[in-house]
Amino acid sequence: MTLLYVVLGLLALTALAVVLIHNGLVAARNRVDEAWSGIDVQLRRRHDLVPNLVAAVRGYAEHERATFEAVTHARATAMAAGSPEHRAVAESRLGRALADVTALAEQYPELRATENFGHLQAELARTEDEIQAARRIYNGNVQAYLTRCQTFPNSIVAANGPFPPKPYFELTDPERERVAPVVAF
Amino acid sequence: MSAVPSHADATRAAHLRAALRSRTYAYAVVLGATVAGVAGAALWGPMGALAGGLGVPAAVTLWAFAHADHRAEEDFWRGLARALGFVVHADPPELPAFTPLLAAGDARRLVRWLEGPLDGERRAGLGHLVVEERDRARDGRDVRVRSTEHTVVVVDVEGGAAPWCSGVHVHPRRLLDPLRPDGWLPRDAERLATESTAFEERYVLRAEPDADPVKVRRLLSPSFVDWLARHPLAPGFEYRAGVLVVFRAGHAADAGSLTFLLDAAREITARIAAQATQDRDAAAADPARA
Repeated sequence: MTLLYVVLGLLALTALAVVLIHNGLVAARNRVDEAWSGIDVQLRRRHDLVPNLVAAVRGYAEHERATFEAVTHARATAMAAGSPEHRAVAESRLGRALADVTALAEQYPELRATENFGHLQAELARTEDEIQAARRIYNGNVQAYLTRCQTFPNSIVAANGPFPPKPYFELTDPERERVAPVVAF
Repeated sequence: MSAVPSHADATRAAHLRAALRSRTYAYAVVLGATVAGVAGAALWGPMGALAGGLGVPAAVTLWAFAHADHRAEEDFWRGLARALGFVVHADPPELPAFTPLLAAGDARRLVRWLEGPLDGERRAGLGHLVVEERDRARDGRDVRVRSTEHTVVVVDVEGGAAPWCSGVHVHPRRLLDPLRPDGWLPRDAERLATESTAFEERYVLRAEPDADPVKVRRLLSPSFVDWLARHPLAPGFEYRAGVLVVFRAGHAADAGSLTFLLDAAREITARIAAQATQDRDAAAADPARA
């Protein structure tokens, strides 16, 4: 009889541990999803800024059609991208295209002097900061989630439940991607 | 900042050396030991002479140490105030209970208080706060049962204007916090969750019913949440009725921590002010949004 109680007690403890681990994993997964929606909000804000920025610069550099088409195409691709991996690639392209538009604008002092453009530039810089912060938060949550999923005994529950691995969100920095000019002496 | 001692004990050894080499100390030790030794011998014999002869120099040395400690502290606070453009208040004021921390416990007192400019338009107070919790003894007297120390920076962010948002509290999580925020925050303060695991592991965010949740969310933008989650001091803050209190546990007495806390207050103030201005501008442009 005592043995039966011990076995029942152990089973109850195991069931309780599984429930706690499962709930912990669900909380971690939800937090990753929540952080992803945080990135989404900021990326959408950037998408909303693109048409205004293009319109402001186009008025001064109508002939730079290729640059405007590139940024418009990059925006459309980024808006259509679904998974974090595809989104990261598309958003990096959009970031580079936006950097090209901003560089183009630098050539027109009259444009830089306008209040509207200054406001747009400040808004874009603020949005970029928020995107970077949201990305750090998301990646931090993914790291915490993956650590939970991969450590024992959570790994047993994670392997048998709806806890797929989540990808990190890495945006490549357009500034860093630019190759430094080679100076020959 | 080069002239500021790095912490409140930095010049204590120098002051103590100077005191021990002074004539006052020498006279006090020699004369005191002689008088006490003679008196001790007359009253209690050889043991009295020994106790008097050793006791007085020990007491004078202890006094010199306490004096040096006090002067080192004064050096530090005056030097820090000078470097920051602040003024030291010899008699710290009594802070009105603007926020839950400033209203916590049964009694509160400031033991240090500096005041000066925070940025171009606002002033800040920096000080050491002691919160006391008292209990009533059987004979009816108040007995101090616990006191908790915090270093605080107080800023009037909105300068008496109608507050943009009121009742937002970000408290560091501490396992062994004697002054549990649950005990002194308003009971109806609602706990809010952010999207950041790092932030949630470090802080508890609460909003009072007066606080507009949309404004709280806008204030706690990803960059602010991330900044708080990674700040080395893990400062907490409370914002109510236009007054911001940024705090950390314990009485910080080193220039690094204090200036860092002041910088944190500057950053939080700037974020609140920017968000308030942005919202007011948006409301002015679109009255329906207000």
